[in-house]
Amino acid sequence: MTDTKQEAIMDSGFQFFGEMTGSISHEIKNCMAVINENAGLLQDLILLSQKGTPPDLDRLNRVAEQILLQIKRSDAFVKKLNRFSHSVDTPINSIDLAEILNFSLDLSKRIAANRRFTLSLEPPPETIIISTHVFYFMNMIWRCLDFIMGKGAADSQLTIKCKKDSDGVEICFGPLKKSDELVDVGSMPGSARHLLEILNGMIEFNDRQGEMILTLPEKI
Amino acid sequence: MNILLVDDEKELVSTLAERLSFRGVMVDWTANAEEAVEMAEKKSYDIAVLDVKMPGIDGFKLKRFLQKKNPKMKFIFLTGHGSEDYYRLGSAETGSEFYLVKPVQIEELIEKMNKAFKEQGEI
Repeated sequence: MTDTKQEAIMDSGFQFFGEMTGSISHEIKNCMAVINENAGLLQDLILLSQKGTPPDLDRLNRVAEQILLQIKRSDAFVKKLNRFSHSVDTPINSIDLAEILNFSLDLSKRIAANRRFTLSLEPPPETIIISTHVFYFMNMIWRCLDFIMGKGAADSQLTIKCKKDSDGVEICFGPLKKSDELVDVGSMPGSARHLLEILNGMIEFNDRQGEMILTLPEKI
Repeated sequence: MNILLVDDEKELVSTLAERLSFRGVMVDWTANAEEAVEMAEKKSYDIAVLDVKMPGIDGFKLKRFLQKKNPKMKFIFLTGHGSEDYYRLGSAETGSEFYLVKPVQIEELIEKMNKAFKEQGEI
């Protein structure tokens, strides 16, 4: 692979890392903001109580519950961030395809929601194990989603399906609108095409089915 | 002073509204940007406190919708993103906006509201 391609893949990786960590950190901030307001509310209620208003124990309990809920939420986000950050630990790994797709969608869903998209995964009928570069794989999935959303190639609901086929595994993104803009891989950014090369994959568009199909080998 | 609070985190915006009410600042609030537009159709707001990143309509887009109803409306943006300076320097929306980084200190928010209201009176 040429230096330029390597650089493009690295840049894509940095961009992906930045987008995902930015999104997760935003979510954690929101949890902290809710905890902050509830802690402040506790102080306000204590002050009111000191001034003579009888304490509403149910209210106090609800505040405590909300704080606990937000801590649980932020813990889940931190776990997500942690898992994502460790995806670069081992270059090639055997993974459950549906599980990693689920995680990839989970990473992407906040950004997708900001762009008015909801993402869902239709689980395959059987467990599919692939051996691939996990970080590049997740980056590729994000590039596909980003491409489709950016082109306005789908309405608000995107469903991802996966299955085994003779060439490896197929990951289908749809339903897509009929569009002349969304025609071939050439219209994808260069970094996405370089990622495809690293993953030994290919992308095609099935106009009839209204799908973009990413095919990857079972073993890289 | 009519104030509208909009943030997609319902628990955040409702608790903030409650705490502001303890301080004598009465606000209308919603966790839905589309609903905010409907509310502004029915009532004229002087100040809007808006979350920047919201699903669908973000804070800046919402600002444009609301400004059509009341060009004199002032805006305070709440962001979970970086620092206040990041927004002041990076955003094309400069001039009369105020920014606060979450988690906000309620006294700071009230101070910004007072500044915004004062600025509005000077227009």
